[in-house]
Amino acid sequence: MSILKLFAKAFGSTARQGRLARRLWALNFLFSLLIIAPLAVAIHGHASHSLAADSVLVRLDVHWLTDLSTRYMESAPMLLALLAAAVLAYLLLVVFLNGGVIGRLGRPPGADGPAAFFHDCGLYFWRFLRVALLSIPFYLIAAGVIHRLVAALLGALTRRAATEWPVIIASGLRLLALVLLLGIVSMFFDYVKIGLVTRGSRKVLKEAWRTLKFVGRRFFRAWGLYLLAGLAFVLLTLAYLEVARVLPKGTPPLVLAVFVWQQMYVLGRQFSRILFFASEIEFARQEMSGAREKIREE
Amino acid sequence: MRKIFTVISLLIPLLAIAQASPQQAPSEAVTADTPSSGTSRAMPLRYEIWVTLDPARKMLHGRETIRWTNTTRDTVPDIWFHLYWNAFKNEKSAMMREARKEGLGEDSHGDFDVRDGNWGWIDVESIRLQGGGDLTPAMEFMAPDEPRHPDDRTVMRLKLPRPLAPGKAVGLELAFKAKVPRTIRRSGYYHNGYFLGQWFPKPGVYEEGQGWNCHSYHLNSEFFADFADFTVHITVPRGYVVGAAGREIARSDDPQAGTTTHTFLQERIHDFAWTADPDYIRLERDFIAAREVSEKEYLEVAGALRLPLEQVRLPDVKMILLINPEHRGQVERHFQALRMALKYYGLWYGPYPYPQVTMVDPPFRSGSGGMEYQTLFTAGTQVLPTPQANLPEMVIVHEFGHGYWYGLSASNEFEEAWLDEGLNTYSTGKVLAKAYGPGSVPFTLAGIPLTRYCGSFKYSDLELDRMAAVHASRLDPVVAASWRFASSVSYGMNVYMRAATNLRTMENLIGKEAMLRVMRAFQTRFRFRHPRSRDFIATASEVSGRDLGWLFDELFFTANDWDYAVDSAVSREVRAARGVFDRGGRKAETSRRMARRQDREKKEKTYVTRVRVRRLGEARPGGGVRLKVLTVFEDGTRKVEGWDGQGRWTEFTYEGRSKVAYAQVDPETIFLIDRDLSNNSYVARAKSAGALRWSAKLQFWLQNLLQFASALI
Repeated sequence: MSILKLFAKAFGSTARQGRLARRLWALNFLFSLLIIAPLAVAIHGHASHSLAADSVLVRLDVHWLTDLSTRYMESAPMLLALLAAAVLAYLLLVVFLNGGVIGRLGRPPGADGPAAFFHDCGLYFWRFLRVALLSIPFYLIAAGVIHRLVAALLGALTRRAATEWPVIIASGLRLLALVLLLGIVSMFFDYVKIGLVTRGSRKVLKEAWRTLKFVGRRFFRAWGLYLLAGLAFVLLTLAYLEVARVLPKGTPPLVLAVFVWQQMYVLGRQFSRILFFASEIEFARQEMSGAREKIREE
Repeated sequence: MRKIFTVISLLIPLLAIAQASPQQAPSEAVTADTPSSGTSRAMPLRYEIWVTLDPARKMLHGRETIRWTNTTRDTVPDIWFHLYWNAFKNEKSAMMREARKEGLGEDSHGDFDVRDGNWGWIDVESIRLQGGGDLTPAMEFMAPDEPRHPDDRTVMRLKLPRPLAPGKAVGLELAFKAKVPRTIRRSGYYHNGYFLGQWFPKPGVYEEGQGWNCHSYHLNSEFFADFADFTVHITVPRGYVVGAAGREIARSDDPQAGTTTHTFLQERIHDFAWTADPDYIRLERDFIAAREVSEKEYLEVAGALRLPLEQVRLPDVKMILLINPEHRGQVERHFQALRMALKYYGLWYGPYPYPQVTMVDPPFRSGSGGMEYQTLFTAGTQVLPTPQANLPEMVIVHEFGHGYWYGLSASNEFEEAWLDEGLNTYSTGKVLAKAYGPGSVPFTLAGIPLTRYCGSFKYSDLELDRMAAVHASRLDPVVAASWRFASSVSYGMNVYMRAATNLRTMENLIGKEAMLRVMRAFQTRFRFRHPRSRDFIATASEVSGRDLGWLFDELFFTANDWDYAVDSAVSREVRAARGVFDRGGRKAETSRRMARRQDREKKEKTYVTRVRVRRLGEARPGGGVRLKVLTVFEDGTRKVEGWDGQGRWTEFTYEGRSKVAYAQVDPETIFLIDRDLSNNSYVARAKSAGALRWSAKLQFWLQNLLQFASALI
């Protein structure tokens, strides 16, 4: 099956698992709300009893932003630390949720309620946490070593540039290289997680070795499929931005409309995230069944 | 050391400067074309310079003749020179030491991370009296500023064989050579592109009774020099396109040497910069005043300035542009911005007095963009400019504008940089607002503008200036010697943005037209002279007819915040009073029940409204200025009170039929410098929609951030 057909199949199975996306969106929303609530109270306290409340409704009022920044400037380090802690906690939550997502997508249809979902979350949490920890050095190598080498090479090529274009192109290539490198590492560890679920294995290192051989043999097909899912995400984002830029603002109902559109985009992102897993699972299934048939034929 | 005392002694009398109105002719009696009188001096300097660029060795070889006339009543024993490029000579120069102190240039790419072989320097090889003896042994390096940098080589003193009596002149012949640095502080080279500012030995300014004002080249400092007539012969390899201050009066080729010599001439300037690059495209356009300014505009400006129409008419000016080939598509954008600058600076602050102006789009990576020199300035753009971001327009208007505030009214940028940067940041904002309106923030990703999605965030210069100003106000005063600021950031934010925001505040206080007259009068009175802060303050007080000394004391000479707030605005119903009252000689008690009944029987309710206003900052109004406090009631009634703002708080009480809707201190936002404008008002009934909108946005941004982070897990 071509990767396009595989992608279409994965899209279908993701669409059928709509409640998964909604579940992830709800958790993402609630988690963010917990973090934002104190800030929202502060903003409310700062703006709601001021005439500035009228102007901030229609635009980003630079004077108001100035006022806000002068008032909270000294709290900025604490806020940043809180944000970092929140991101870390969210990453743990995602490690937990990934078990449910891949568990639901990767196993034969069965019970599909929250209980089954969270059962899978718990079942795979420690395995996926080990995968996440194992991935850290690979990300560091990709971003800290390989990307630096690429950046150094591009820097050397443009160091003596006499015009601006080579520098702009190099800057774009640097960014692209970073995205692609991180994508490759991410894809590889997605397949490790899928392998752990589909094979029921508990041994992360063994699965990683197996995945290395699996992906290594069919890298470009796997990567092509991953990039297709990435393209879907880019298209989704462009669609969101196109609509967002023409949405009018300035009245409470319009504020609500914009917020709803933003949340639809977040939901779309969750869908896109599941689509990545679904396409990888379809790919793994096809390749494994192909391999089994080959063995049988032999 | 002496110079520092000069600065300090300047600051103290400024506290009462409002009374010290200078003995000047009426503001417009002196025009741009009239030689300065009163405290001004005749032009003491004349230069003729021959310089050759050696691109292979990145060297300049020069000869310079100077004629310096002692126009003061002092007898002068020596002449002090700036050798600015020695700031780039090694890590012991004042500039490099100050840069290192701020952590600039160590393991970072930037101006101060000088690679081996890229240092720049200047040597005076010989110096002779014209027709006389060799004075080379009489040269010595000086370190005039505190804290001292004894190894700095940017100031040189030449002891004259005989002290120079008042009115006498001395002619000197200097030979010098200079190594062109890889661009640092706007001067230097990249590939075949050269931008050369502050490149020749240049005398400081002799101040009567004070001596030579000739500071070391500091990290934050710019320049100060006397007006002079320049004739400069520049020899470059054939094929180089040359741009320079002044007008080119001759050009000759030397086929044998493969060089071309360009001769430039300019009278009455105090700075001479030039640039050379074989790739420049050189273009010319004319600013034709009759085409650019309508009769109606002239009449409006003349009316606002209270000047005869003929005094506001503008001359035609030749505009020269040297632009990089890859920016060729932006040629008209450059000329249009310069037209706007010539028009509005000319109309508001006086006609541009030179016949031409040269605008340079500096070579790529030369680091020379965004800098002013007289009759020549550098712009700066990108191959992919953000369409609505008013760039390069902002740079062009700003750098041209310096031609007025550092150029014509040639303030001392070492000691009082705000008189240039602050006045010009203020003026730039006015011109940009008039000519272009608000700009968009130039969001880019890998050099590609994201205007389509981020272009809706518009800002005006005064908003951004205020943002920096309120963050800078506690760091340093606006008026201080440039090397005395806590950091480069404090210097930049105070001298540019805080000064500009203070000037906006002054404009709001005295009115737009009065402010226009102040700026015009200051520019006209001090053209071709060296004004001080006290001159600006005196001009402002005199022209506006108000004592403005307090405004400078509070906002320019101190590091104090300005912050007034409405603390609360509360209405309470007036209820019948309980207790024992004397009625007809007898004691009668009004019980709770009776009081409630009386309240119920009232046909109309009455409310007592209390508005409490607080001073949260240290800065206060003076000169009889009272802060306006506006209280608006739900039935639309408005009450306006005045408060001198001296105490920490005050309260206003009203009794009436309506509850308070809101109260506001300084409702016209006269004091733009206020640290927190949001707390200037208090709305009785909270309005949540705006806060909700931004809370929702934050929520959305956080959701996306979390998703980005988790994409890798």
